[in-house]
Amino acid sequence: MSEQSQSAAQRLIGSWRYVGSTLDGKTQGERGASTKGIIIYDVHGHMACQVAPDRNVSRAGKEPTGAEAIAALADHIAYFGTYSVDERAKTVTHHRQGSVQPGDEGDVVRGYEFIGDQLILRPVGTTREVIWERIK
Amino acid sequence: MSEPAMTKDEVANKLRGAWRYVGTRINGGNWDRGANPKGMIYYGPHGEMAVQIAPDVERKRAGAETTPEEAKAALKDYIAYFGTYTIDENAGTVTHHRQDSLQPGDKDDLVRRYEFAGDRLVLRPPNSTMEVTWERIK
Repeated sequence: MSEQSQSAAQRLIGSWRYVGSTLDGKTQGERGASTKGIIIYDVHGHMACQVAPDRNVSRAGKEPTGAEAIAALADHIAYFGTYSVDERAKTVTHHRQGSVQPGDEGDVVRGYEFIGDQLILRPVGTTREVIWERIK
Repeated sequence: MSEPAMTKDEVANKLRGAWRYVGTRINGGNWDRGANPKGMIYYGPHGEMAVQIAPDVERKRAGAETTPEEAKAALKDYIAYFGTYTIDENAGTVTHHRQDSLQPGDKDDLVRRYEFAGDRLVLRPPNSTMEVTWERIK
């Protein structure tokens, strides 16, 4: 089956490596040069996402201190749950069941676009885009 | 009961996909992550893996910025890492090669003995009484 004849829901399935993000068309470097991340859409409607800034967060003791915990959380994305696709609106909604970020609950809606091996996700109502590359 | 010998491909086929967190036991008791902890582990077809476990606690943020206490509470016992994995079918282990972990200072490879029991996957760190149980998402 050619990629064109697949539904968006079918094309989403699999895992994608974080490439980068832009705001107003400009590359965002706030997470560092070698930011890593993965987003997974599985065949049964489950998803998970992690984006880890390129920064070494140390831990001096057994438990992180308040300052170390804040540094570890800063700009770190880690959530998971289920997803649903609206092919008309060209959006995918992430129904979050767990997220490490305090106060971070509920659904997030992303416009999607496929360009070759890349997936672009755009938070609805923003000029931000997050670029992912298919892991294969 | 020990797993009958499986080839690497057989193990890979069984591991592949997404699994829902059931629970963690240590020394025969439950590891306390609250009443309803949630989690997911994923083994991809190209050697990629990711895991998250979220303890059942409220992760609050009162103001615009997270306070040190809120950050510590949010981070406590939350597992989030990803990377690649390799299977040693002779040892009956899967190794998670972490590219990144949420937890500060957490970076080495993790070796887990695997056991498949029906729809469940049990992962055990070697030399530990801990076992983490997962249920296939289907």
